[in-house]
Amino acid sequence: MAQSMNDTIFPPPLVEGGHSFGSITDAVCRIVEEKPTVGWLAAFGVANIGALMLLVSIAWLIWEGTGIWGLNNPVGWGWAIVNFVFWVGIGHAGTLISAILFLFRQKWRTAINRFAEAMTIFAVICALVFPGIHVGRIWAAYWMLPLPNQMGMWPNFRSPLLWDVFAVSTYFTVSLLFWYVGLVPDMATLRDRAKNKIAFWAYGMLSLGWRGANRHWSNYERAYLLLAALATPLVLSVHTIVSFDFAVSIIPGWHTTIFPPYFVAGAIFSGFAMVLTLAVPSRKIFGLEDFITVRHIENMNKIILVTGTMVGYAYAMEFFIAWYSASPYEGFAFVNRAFGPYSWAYWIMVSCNVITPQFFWFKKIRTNVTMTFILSIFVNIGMWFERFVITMSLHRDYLPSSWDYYAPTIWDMTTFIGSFGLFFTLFLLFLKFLPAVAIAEVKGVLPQADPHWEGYHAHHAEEASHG
Amino acid sequence: MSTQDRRYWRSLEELDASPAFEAALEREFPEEVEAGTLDGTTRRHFLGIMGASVAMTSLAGCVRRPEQKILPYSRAPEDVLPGVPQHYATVAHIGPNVIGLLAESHEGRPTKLEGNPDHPTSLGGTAALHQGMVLDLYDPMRLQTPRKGGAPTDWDALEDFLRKHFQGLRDGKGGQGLAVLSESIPSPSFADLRQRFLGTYPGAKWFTYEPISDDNQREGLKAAFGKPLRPSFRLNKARVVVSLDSDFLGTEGDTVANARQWASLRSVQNTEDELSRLYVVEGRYSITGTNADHRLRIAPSQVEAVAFALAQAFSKKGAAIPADIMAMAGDRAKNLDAKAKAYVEAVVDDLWNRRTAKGAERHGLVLAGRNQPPVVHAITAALNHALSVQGVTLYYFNDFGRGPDELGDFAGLKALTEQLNAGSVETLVVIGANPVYSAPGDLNFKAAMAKAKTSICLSDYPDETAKLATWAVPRLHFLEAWGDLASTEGTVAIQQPLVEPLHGGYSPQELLARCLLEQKPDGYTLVRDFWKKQFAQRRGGSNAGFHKQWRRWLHDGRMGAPFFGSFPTYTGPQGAGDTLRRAPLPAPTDRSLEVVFHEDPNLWDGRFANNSWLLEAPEPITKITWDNAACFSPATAQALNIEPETLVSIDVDGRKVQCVAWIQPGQADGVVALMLGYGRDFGNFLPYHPTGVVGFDVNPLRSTAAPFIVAGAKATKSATRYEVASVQRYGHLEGYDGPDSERRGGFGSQDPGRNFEKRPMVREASLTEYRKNPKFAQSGIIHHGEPPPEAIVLHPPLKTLYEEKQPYDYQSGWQWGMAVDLNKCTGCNACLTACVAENNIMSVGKDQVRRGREMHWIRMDRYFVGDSAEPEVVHQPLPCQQCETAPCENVCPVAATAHSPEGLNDMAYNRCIGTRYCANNCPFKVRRFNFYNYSKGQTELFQMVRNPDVTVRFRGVMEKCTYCVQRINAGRRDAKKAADEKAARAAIDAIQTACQQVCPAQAIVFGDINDKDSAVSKAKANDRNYALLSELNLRPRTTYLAKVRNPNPKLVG
Repeated sequence: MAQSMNDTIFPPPLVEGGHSFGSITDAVCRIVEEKPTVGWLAAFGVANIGALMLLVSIAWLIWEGTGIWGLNNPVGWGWAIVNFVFWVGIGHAGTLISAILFLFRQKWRTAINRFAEAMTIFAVICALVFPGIHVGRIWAAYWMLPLPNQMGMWPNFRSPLLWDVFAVSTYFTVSLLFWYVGLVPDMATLRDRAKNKIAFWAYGMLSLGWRGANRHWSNYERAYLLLAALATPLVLSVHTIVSFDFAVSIIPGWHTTIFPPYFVAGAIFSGFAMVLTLAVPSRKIFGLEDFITVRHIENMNKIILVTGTMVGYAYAMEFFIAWYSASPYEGFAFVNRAFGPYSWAYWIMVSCNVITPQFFWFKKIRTNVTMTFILSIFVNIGMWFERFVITMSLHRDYLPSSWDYYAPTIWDMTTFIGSFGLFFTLFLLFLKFLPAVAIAEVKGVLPQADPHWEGYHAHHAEEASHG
Repeated sequence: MSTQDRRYWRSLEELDASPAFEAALEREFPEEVEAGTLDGTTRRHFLGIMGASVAMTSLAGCVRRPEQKILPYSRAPEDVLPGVPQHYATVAHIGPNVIGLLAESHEGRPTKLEGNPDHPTSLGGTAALHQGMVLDLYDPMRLQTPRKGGAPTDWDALEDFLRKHFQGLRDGKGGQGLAVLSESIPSPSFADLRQRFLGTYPGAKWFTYEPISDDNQREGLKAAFGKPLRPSFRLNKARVVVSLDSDFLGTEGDTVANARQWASLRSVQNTEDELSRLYVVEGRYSITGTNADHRLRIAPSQVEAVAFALAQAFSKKGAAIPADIMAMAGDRAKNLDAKAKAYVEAVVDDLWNRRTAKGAERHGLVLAGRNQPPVVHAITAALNHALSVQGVTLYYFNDFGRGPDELGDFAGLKALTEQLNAGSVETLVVIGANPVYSAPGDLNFKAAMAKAKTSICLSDYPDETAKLATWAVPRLHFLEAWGDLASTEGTVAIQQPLVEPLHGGYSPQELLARCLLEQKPDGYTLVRDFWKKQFAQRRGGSNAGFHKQWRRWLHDGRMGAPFFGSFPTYTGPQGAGDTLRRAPLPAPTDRSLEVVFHEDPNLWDGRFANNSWLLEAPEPITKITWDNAACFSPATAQALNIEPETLVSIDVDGRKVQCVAWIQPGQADGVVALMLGYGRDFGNFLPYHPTGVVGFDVNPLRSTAAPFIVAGAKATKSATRYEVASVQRYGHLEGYDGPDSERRGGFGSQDPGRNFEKRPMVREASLTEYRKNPKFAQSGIIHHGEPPPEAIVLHPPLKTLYEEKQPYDYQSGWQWGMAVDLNKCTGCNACLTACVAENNIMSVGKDQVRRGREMHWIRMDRYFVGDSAEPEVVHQPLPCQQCETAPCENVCPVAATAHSPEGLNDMAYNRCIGTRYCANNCPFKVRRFNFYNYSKGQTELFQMVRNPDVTVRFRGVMEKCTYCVQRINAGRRDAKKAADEKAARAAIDAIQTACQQVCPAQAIVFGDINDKDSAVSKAKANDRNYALLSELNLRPRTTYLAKVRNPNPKLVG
């Protein structure tokens, strides 16, 4: 108690290791400027194989048809849609960290926001692959866009799939812009430190002529704030709309009003778990422990605990409503979920999503990096299964004569694994070519950045003596 | 039992989870293992993928536009309006059973067969088999040129050979050493040629062979009447029908006419209406059995005892039963159990007491099944005589399909085999039958046939017999050849060809004429000259007016009066004669099983074995596609420890056959039911169907002594799994509450959830319940806390949050709707197959069916009711329900499915991008997706069967029932062209969907629901009318009329 009170009044430093402005720049830029390590090359190679696997799977899909997947008549959506929702969900943490925590002035977010935003963008790219390829006639998929055409046909604005197109593409655009705007000062830093022409030219282009002028900073801060305000509702809207794909239908197990908040909570839950899954090894490998501190990890674990509990509540509430509605179809759908042919998936989901986060009530576990990593993996698995369980409501709906069982084929699996390949390919490229930590922002939370910092004069004196 | 108490289930695994099932569940992805091999990527596939990778860079590479050249008619044929199909009357037969048909021709290309409403065998409907016949015309596997010793040769060589060979046989020898084996062809001109043939070749022997044999019937009726007669029924007058193992609604006799007549007495318009009552005594579940009001489950061998018990009870009532039957009756009936005895008593009361009823109410009918021994047929004749129904519900006719003095099917085949083995047959002519495949196993016909020096085989396919013959002669399809056929009760119809022979060939008549060394042996001349002669004989030698008469025959598809005998009645049966001498078979036990062979409702004796429409039509009870199975009762399977979908070896007198096991609820214990017609290898003809033999050939188990029912068989289980593609028992449906099935209840009981028994999909009541509560079907609506509504409501008064707005005014114009009378539907599959033929629905093959991807637009749902040993069965045809508030429409992102102003849920294939969201959101799951390009690789010949009015759907597109929108459009065009309102109304009323038109039972009614006088409006005004899932407020245009059974109060315990 005393300690936590102390924490509140005198929060622990956000950056550890006694960094100065210069050493932060060095620490982050070093990753970009050094030659790729063997570890990075190996990881990149593996990720590339995965991405290639995705490419081959998609090519075979286009060549042969959706029949290569395990879909059947009652189960028209399988892993492709599960993966789509899974990746979109993961894509939620980035913007949440960047935008909402920014608006709430949660300064601890600066160390992880760049990272998380990159993850968001790559996750959304992975997600966007699936709605594109899962349709039967891929060459006509662009008809979902409201493009003027000779048929005089608009898309059907009543379809949740169309809302999806808008929601996810808007989210992607705003997230990308937000990320890019945040990158501009750091690009300039890299440009200034560039040793070769190509890097100088590339970072120069991307930094948009940034000179660190007062006016630049002022415009930058305003733009960032505006984009944060724009992105905030999107965090809530995207998964709300993704949940409409299910909630707007009339299939028992899908037709549920709790879905929007439940999906958003689940998305934040899975997003934070994925941030941790990526951050924990990265901070170790790239020596970023001073910036992504145990405090960051603990804070994220708290969010996982909160959202995980919300998800657990939603699971319970679904069952309650199914019973309370007295609709036999609804009641059956949920009992079937827990005890039917897919009960194994249901119980994996419950164990991973409801039980796992409860460990974070314990500070020891919350602040244990290894445990955090392990539990975050469980949450990722659990959240994938949540989407699987929901999608599989299709396998037994109203008329028993049409019931069936869905099992994935090898191509479902290669496509899913391949999407991880694509994700990590992009992520590794990001780590190598862009600053993984927001240099300018982290500097802003250093004690040195405070004009009332007690060491201000000593610091300057020291600098003067150096100079 | 009222609707609420009835529990519906589909498979035994559901009713009590078997250990194998639970074990199967342990395997997480049971199908994935096969998936690896089936989706296996070969080098060529890999190159394909790489090609696709390149193609991905340019979307244009994905659009396939075949380049084809078309030519206009240089001289247009008379009467042909391009785009407007023509219908010609013709006739076809399957064995001895004839069906009058109307063939639809598109610019000279027959595409669809309909029943000829004027022909008494059809009355407008057909069975599933007849729907499939048109596909055989275009089968690329057909024998296309003559073959000599297996090698293709030309027609001249064949003609030359036939002339020389038969000249040699005729001159000097007088046909010594000549034998003919023909299938049953009930054709007068063929019979005439046969007579002339036997006159020209006095030494020749003639045998008729049908593997699906009516030997028993012939023998039994010969014992009774002294003549091998064929019975014909008038079920529209039979108030009590007792079937002794006869599948008269499914596969025996003139099933189409039977079904229509039977269903006419199952129509319930109001509480005053009377229903006929159907008793079925049988061992395996047949289509007729599923429609029974009371079904006595008994081993087929014991049906004989029931027949004797019936005779005994009749006699007690004072009926005159021939003495020889009565002499045996006490002894033969004594082993029946109490249940069977009570059943017999109730049946006889019901039959006998009606004799005193007034008017139409008084007639009954007893039918004996094809598999039952002759004595059952003889007893049946006596029973019917006692009921004095001859001339009312029953007529007897001579058998036109074969000569009067012939041996039976099996005795004949045995005699032929003996002669072949003895070397006394030098030339064997086989017409149509495929004895090498279908001969009983004890004959070894294959070896015997090889002993004939010359064998000439007229065959549709290069089948087992044709391959072995020294000369294989292509046989013309019935749509290519002239002929004539006489139905059971003597209605003759001219078989009119619709198309020039596609590959060349002979009709049976043409072959015989060549054997007779005739000068002009073309079918037209043969048939026409024969009838000219007949005509002249009746007109005292004058031919005047024949041409006009001939044209009328062709036009009507039948001759006016029966040409052979006019409804003769035969004097009372003499008894059962020699048939009594045969000792009855012992009752089966688990150690000494009884095997019963029966025809497949889809492949018959195997003659449709290369017909993908029929192979993919699910067997009506097991719902198995692409396979036959050895069916066991649940108790027998348990006693023998046999698991479904494993191979079992069945052993009869040392002859063994392996077959996949299937557990069939409702089958008699100790009985193995085997379906004939499978186990033939025709090669791979569907792109996604695995190659190899389809099903299991069980003919080797048959013997000439016991081709129908065999006692003393053994079944040995094996651990080898064999996957079966059953469309209603996919995957692994497991119960969470373990094998304790007693605990299982519906919703509202303490065990909510697992089962669906109380889902009110099929609503039914007994006639008494219906009279008490005519609106019982309404109580099936799940609408809590409110009593069943007074009026018929298709959608309960649900509270809605917003004002419901329909896109169109459904109160005006033509509004299409359909009503399906579950009381009439027999579950025969005709609608499903007709839909396939009409709408160019692709067959997908066994592997795809197993993956749940069959494309049938109308699904035949079959549910069991009651316990697993003796369940009842209900059928429910399920086409698209055409919901007014269709859930599929609003979810489509590209608006590819939308409503028409006439209330159709339309599907624009060209607009569909294949998100499958509509199918997901369809609560009836009637939408079908083209997961692959299922029409891939179809030859131009095969494509000719397609209906040009219906788009062939490409891969990645959703499809579904549209109420045959192409037919609606044609009718609408007619209505708009009509001179006046009345003619327009007539044109609209004439629109029939394919399923409606084909339905033998007339269970489906379609039309304009805005017209209060239309048949569909009247059907929907019926008390029994209900909408499926009405609580979802979907306002479906397809509704159902609830089932009303008519149980005998004495038998309802």
